[in-house]
Amino acid sequence: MIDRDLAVRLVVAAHARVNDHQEELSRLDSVAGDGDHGVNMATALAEAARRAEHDDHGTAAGVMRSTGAAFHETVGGAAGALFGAFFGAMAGQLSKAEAPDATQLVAGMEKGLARVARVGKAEPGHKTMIDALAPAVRAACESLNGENGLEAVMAAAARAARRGATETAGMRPSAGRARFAPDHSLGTEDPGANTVALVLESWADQLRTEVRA
Amino acid sequence: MSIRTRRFLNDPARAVAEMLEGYVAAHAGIISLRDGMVVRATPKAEGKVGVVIGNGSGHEPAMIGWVGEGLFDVNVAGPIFSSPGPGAIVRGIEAADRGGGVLLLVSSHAGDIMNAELAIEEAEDEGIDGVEMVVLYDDVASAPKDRITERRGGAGLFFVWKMVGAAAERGDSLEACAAVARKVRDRTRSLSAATGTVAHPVSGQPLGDPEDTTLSVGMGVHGEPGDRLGEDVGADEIAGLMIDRLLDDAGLPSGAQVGLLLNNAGSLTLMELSVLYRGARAALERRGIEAVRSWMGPYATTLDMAGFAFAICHMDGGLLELYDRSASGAGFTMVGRQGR
Repeated sequence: MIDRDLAVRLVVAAHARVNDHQEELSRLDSVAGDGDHGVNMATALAEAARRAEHDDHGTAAGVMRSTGAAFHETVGGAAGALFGAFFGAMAGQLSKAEAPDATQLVAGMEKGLARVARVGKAEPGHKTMIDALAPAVRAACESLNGENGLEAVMAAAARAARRGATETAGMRPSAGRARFAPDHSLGTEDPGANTVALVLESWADQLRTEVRA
Repeated sequence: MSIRTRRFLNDPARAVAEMLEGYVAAHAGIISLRDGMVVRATPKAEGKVGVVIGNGSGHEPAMIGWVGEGLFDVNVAGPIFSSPGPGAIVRGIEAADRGGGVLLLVSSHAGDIMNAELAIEEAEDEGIDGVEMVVLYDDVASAPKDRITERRGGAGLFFVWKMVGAAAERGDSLEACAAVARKVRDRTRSLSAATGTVAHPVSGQPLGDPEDTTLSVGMGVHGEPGDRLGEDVGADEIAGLMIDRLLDDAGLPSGAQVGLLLNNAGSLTLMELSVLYRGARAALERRGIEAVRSWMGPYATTLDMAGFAFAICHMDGGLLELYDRSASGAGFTMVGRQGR
């Protein structure tokens, strides 16, 4: 079951991972963007982790909602809007269950993906975070249907997200700021897709550690 | 050639908040700070339309300098180069509300549009009505004319803020103010040029390649790259090339009257600006276009970018009357027929 404490640990793990990679993310963003993606994501997740640890959100849904708000309030911009929308939609789904488990988490990721697509008006292949998130959701669904537990489901999602993020290097952007220079970022991975992969990898690692403990 | 990375700041993460405090303190009679937003020191009369915008910082005086009589009622300044989030924009809408409805203007950039749309949804959920949003664009380099709504917002939006602010101050309805915004937008075109790039104050990362000092035309306000020009091109030729492109795109006939803006993107000297302005006037004359109003200076910057933008606005159908109305912001004031 995904309770409040596990949700806090997931947010803290995501912050630690993204924080370790923030320079690399900013460098990817500087190719066709304004070079602050890593700083922004690390800042938002630091605030999200701070709120998760210090505020009493009661449930996993509360932690995810507060994380979404941290993105909206601290970094703004397209990335803030989209990651905020993802965590907000995830919170909405988790709040529907008394004791959310892997099924609700995957449903929450699906809802998050749908809201990101609606807010960002982007589709797979546009070289955005969706190119990591969509395959991750697909892989998580398949793993869940194979009657795997939370740890295996998240590991499958993280692997698919990483593959998706790597594949964005070969794409030309057709959404967001980067679309104004479609060839400029060819050969460079999308920073948002990389953040998705880092967050899901941190979650997979956290869950594996806990299962083995 | 290197870019300037050493800035006169304290903690870079606090730069925007400290900028707002200092800027407002220096212009106390015109603007004040409320809940992190720049608002007019003297609110607009009850019943008139409030005009608000949220935008990324790093483009000053846009838009903190554009709050005041005949201009914006509220500016919600976001992080550097990033729109503020939806919650902050909703608070801006509430602060701008004088009972006549609120017009939320959006310069077309992916993040600005997303956050504004989320803010409109949030405002509706909170029962705030009488809010209208208009997305504005003018940059001819960002999309071809047959996909004009995909263009991004650039320096030419100067004309929109000026004339929408005047319409709202005059007491025009929300519907009429929104119509002015669309009308001015559809008559405005801009194009920018720069050489080199700038460093992001927080990450320290350059926007683009710091070693590349090629002069490029059509770059975006966040350093998005443009077309490149050779080293032997002079100011007259650059101005002529840019003005021709603007006039071709706008499809203006000989004899048309335009407003002409020359925006300093950051660190150009007044010497360079003046020489470029002279070249633009000559280029307009060659095409039989009359520049009836002009403004030259820093309007929407990209930190200390060595660049500029030209914008033209076709001043027909009563727009001159709106342009000439007085305005008083910390970064832009106009009394009488200035820039004629």
